[in-house]
Amino acid sequence: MKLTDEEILLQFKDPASKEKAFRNLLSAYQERLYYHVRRYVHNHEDANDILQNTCIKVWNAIDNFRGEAALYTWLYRIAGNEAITFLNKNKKRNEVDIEQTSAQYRGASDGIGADEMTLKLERAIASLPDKQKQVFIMRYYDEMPYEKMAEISETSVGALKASYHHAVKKIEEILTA
Amino acid sequence: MNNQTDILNELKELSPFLLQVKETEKPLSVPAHYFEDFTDTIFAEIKTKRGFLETLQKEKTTVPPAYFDKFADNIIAKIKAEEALVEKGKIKALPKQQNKVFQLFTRVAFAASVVGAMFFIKHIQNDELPLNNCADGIACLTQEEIYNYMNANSHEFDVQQIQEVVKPVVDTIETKIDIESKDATKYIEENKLILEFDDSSTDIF
Repeated sequence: MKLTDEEILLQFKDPASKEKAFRNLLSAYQERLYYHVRRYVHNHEDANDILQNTCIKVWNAIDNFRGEAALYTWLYRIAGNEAITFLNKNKKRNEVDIEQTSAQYRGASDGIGADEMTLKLERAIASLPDKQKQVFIMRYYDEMPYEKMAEISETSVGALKASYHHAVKKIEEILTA
Repeated sequence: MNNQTDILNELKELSPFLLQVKETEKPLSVPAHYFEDFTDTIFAEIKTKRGFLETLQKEKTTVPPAYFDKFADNIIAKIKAEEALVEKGKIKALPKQQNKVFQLFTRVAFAASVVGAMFFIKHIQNDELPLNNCADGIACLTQEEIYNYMNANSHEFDVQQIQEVVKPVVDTIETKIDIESKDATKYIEENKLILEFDDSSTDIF
């Protein structure tokens, strides 16, 4: 049976059940967090690295979590920041990875298949500024309402809508060029 | 209308092309049992990091036994030993104030020498350097005298300046020498001036 956020946080308050609480937290959120960070990077290995770093940060910081934001908001914020940090650290390598896979597809087929379009989309997302990248991933892939996105990114709904609009237009421009 | 429909409608309005891309996208693949094993992987990682940090902390706090007990005594003993040497005259200590003045003087002297050197360099690099102009009666040196001076102080002049001065002198020398090459070869042979092969390869360094 899955526990609610409140029940998980209550378990964290007792040092004896901290490990159990953390297992429950991961069980509730690991998949959503994984698919969120996977959209930032090109492969599973990088997504796994980011997710592990995120979880370790959560473990170290959970005692200071005051519950001012919802648990998932806090987790998404940490995961998004970790993904951006990772991308900035490995910018060159990530670009090369996408280029190499893209070249393999080009060699295999003359037309643009769904996989190659996915790679083109990944490359287009990678070219966006950090903020637009986060907004696009949360809306396009995670299908998140603007109100939740506003909580996570601590930005107004209006600014997020504008950001998403710009991101979509840029990506369309790159894909159709 | 639910949230997903809202998002798809919004995307359709912004970019029908991107909506089409979204609809044809394949789901992401994840290695088998990845999520089942993930929690254990994280705990193993946390334990490794915790163990590493604890090792670091232990190493950081390790100090030789009774190190701090004798620390003050050791420092005072060192200070006294140094003072004793000063008293005996083996070390000449400058008073603090004098030391500061001396440091300030050194800095000022250094700055002045840098400014002086820059002024001198700028002066000698001036393109309008007067060349043996006797019209004003100040510098009536011959080309040869200027050449000799510049030759002796070549490090202070750039190549172009030396070449300009050297050219008339070399021209004069070349016009004075009027030796046929046959005569020169004969002179060298008679005076055994041709080096042996071994001599020519001698390592002069």
